[in-house]
Amino acid sequence: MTEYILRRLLVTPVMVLGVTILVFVMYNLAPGDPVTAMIDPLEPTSSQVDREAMRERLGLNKPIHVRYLIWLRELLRGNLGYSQVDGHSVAERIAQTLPATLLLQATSLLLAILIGVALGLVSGLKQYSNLDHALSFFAFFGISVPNFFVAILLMYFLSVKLDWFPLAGMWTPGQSTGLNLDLLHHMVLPVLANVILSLAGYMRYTRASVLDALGADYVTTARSKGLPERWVIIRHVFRNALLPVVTLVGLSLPSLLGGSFILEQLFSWPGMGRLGYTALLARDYPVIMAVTLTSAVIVMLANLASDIAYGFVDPRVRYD
Amino acid sequence: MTRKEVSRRDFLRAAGLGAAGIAAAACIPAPQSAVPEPAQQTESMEAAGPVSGGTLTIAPGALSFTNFTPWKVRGTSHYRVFSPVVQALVRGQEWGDGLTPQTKEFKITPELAEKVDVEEPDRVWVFHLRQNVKWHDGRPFTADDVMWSWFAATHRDVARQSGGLPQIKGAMNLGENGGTMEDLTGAQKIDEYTVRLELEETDFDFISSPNTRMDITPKHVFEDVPLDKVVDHEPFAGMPIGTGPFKCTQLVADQFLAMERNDDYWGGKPLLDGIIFRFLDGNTAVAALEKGELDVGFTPDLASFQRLQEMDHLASATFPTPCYWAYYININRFPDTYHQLHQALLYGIDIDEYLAVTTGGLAVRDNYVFSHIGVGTLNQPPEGLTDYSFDPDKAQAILEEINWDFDRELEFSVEGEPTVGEETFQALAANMGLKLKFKVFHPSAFVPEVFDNLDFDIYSNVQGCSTALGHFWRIVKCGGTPDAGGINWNNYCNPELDEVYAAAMQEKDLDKRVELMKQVALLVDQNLNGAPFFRGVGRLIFNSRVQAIYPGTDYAKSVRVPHEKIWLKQT
Repeated sequence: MTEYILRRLLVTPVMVLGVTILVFVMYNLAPGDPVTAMIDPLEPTSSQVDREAMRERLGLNKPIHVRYLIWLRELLRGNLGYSQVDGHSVAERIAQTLPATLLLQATSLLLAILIGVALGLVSGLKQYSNLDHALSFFAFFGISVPNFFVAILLMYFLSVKLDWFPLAGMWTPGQSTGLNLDLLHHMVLPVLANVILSLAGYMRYTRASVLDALGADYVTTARSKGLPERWVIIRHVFRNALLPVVTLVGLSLPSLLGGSFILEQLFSWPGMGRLGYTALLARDYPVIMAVTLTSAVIVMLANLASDIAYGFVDPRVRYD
Repeated sequence: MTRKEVSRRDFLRAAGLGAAGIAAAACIPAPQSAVPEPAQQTESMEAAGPVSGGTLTIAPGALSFTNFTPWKVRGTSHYRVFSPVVQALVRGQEWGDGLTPQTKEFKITPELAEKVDVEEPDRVWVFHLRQNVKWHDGRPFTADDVMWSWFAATHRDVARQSGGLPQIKGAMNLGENGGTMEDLTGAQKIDEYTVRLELEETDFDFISSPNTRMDITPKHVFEDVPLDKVVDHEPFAGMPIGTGPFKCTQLVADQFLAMERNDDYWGGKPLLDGIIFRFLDGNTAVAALEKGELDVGFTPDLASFQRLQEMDHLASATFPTPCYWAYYININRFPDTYHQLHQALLYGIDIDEYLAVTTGGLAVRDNYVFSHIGVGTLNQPPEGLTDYSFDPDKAQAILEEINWDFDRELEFSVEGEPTVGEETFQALAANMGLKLKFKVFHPSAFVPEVFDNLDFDIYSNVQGCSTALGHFWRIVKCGGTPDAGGINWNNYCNPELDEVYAAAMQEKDLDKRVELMKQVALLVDQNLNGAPFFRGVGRLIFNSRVQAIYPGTDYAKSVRVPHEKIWLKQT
C-alpha cells in the first residue's frame, strides 16, 4: 500500500504539469487578453498605444512558451504571481477563498453521501414500490436539472418568499465572522442546491448495488443460515453496496468544483469558484491558472484518497 | 500505511461520526436576531423629519473590490463605495441631476477646502483648508496631507494606477522619471492650512472635472511605505482612512465593506449609524431588494426595474447620466456618403420607439453632443441644430439622393451577442429599407477589430461619459487615431472643426467659450459620420424606508452623494 501511495504521489506532479500546460495554452489561444478585458467596449478611453504599453508592462508581449516558463519558475519558488487586474497576490487570494469553497463542498459532499446512500438503500430494498418510484423521479430530476436553476428556485421560494434563510453571502453583513451559527444559516441554501444535484448519483448507485447484493450468493447464504433479515441487510447488503460509492466520491469532485463557479456566484459565496468566475471574465491569467492548478491538485489528491479508502473498505482489494 | 495501523472498521466509524457531526451542526437554525430589523435599529423617531439611526445596505453594482484607494478607483460602482470615506478639496458639479437648473459658472462644491481663491483662471488656485477636520484615526488634517496626495497622484510609482494629475507643473517629469516632493513645482504649501496649485497650462476641465484625482489621503499612514508599495498598502487599501462622514470598520473580501458613522465629521454628525456595501451578483441584488435584505440597488435590468418599482416596499428613481449612446458609420467604407447615411438613419429610425423598447421610455431622444455639460448655457442646444424627428419620407429621399443600393447589407459590428438595443435598431432600420447584418465579435476581440482595424460598416456604443470639455475633441480630432495614441476610432477629420475646437479650448472668457463650443456642436451636426441619439438614464431602486436619497442626490460619479443626510424611516 505504501509503495502504491508513493507511486501515485510521484505521478501526481507530472499530471499537474500536464494540466497547467493544457490550461495555459488554451487560455492564451482564446481571443483577447487582460488588457482588452479591462477596456469597456462601450466606452473605450484608452488608445492602442496605451494598450500596447500596458501589455509590455504586464509581460504579455513575450512568446507564450516564455510566459509559461516564467510562470512555472515562479510557481516552483512558491509564487503564484499577482492579479493582472488588481495587483493582489494570487496565493493570498487563493488562501483567502479556498477555505470557503472547501467548507461548502465538503459539507455538501458529506450530506449528499449520507442522504443519497440512505435513500438508495431504501429505494433498493423497496424496489418498484411507490416510494421507489418517487425517489427515482427525484433522482432523475436531480440529474437532469442544472445546478443554477435549482439554486434560483431555492433562493426564490425559501429565501425571498418564505424568508427562512438568507439569500446570499457567508455571514450577515456587519455581524461577526467565523465558525458560528450565522455561517451555518447562510450555508443552508448553497449546500441544499449542491446536495439535491449530487445525492441523485449516490442514490442511484446505491440502489443498483443493493439490488446486486440482494441477489448475491453470500446474501442467500446468510439468509439460509437463519440470520435475521435486519442483520442480513446491515452486515451483508449495505456494507457491500457501499463500495461503488467510494469510487463515486472521487469522480464527483470535479463536477462539484466546476459547479462552484456558478453556485458561488449566485449565492455570493466568497470562494475560489467565485474568484475563478470573475478572473475568467477579466481574463486574469495568473488567477485563472492558480484556480485551475488548485482545483487539479484537489481533484487528484481526492482521487488518490478515494483509491486508498477503497483499499480499506473492500478487503478484496490489494495494492501490493 | 497498512491495514493494521487503521482498521477498516475504525476508518468507517470515524468518517461516519464526522459526517453526522457536520450534518447535525448544519441543521441548527441561526437565531433570527442575526438579521436586525430596521425598526430595531432606529434610536429615536419623530413623526416627520429626519431621525438618526439604522444601517443602510447598498449593492454598489460590483462583484468585488479589494482595493478602495483613490489610486485604484475604477468606474462609478467603485466610486460609490469609496465616496463616503475619502474626500477631495473640492468637487466638480459640471452637469445637473436633471432637476436643478445649471448655473452660468462652473459649480464647485467645497469639501476639505472651505474657500478657493482663483489666482489665475483655470490655472492657478489657492486653497484654504478647513481647520477642524480630523482623519478617521483621530489625527488632524493639514496642508501636508494635501501636498502628499498631489505628490502621490503624480509620482511614477503611484500614479501609474490612477492616470495621475499630469497637468500640475512638474508632474510630467515626476510621472516619467520619479523624484521628490520638491520636483512638483506647481504644488506649494503656504502654511498649515493653505496650499497653492499651479498648472503647466490653462485647463478648463481641471478644477471641476470629476475625473480629476483630487482625493486627499493621509500622509502619516504612508510615511514609512516605499512609493511602489503605496497603492496596495494594507490595511489602508482595503479599509482606507479618510475624512468623510463614514469610516470603514470591517472588510470581508468579496462579501461586504461595513462602515460606521464618523461622529467627528466636520460637516455634522451623520444620521445613519452605518452603511454596508454588499458585493452581489446583479440578479441576486434584485432578489435581495425584493426580499428587503438590501436597501439600495443600482441599475437593475429594465425588466427587473419595472417589476420592482411596482412593489409596495420599494421606490424607484431615474436620473440622467452623462453618457450618450451613439452609432458611427465607417468613413473608410463610405467616404462620400457617410454623413448622408447617418442623416437618413436619424430621420428613418423611430428613436422614440427604440427608446420605448430599450429603456421603457425613460430616456429621451437627444442629438446634441454637449447637453450633459452644464457650463453656462452650453447644456442648451444651439439654434440651427437639426431636429431629427421621425420622418421616414425624408430618410427615403436622402437614401435615393445618394443612390443607395437597397440590396446591400450593412455590417453591424457587435460585441458578443446582439443586445436588445442592437436588435431593435436593426428592426427599425429594416422598416426604412436598410439591411443591417450583425457581425459578432468575441468581447475581447471587439476593441482591436472594431476600433483598431475598423472592421465595421456601422457600430453602436457609448460616445463617452466624460464631462470634460475637451473629451469630445479626443474622439474627433484629426490625426488622433488609436495608433497615434488617441481615441479617434473613426479616423474622422474635419480641419474646420479642429480649428474652432482649439479656439474654444484656449478662450478664457466663459461666454465666448460657450459660443465657440456651440459652433463645434453645429459643425458636428453638419458633418460627422455618426452622432449621439439619446442620453443614458440611470435606474435606482430603493427601499421606501430610505429617505433623502433622491431627488437632490445625484448618483453619477461627478457629484458626491451626501450620505450624511440620508436617513431611515421607521416602518
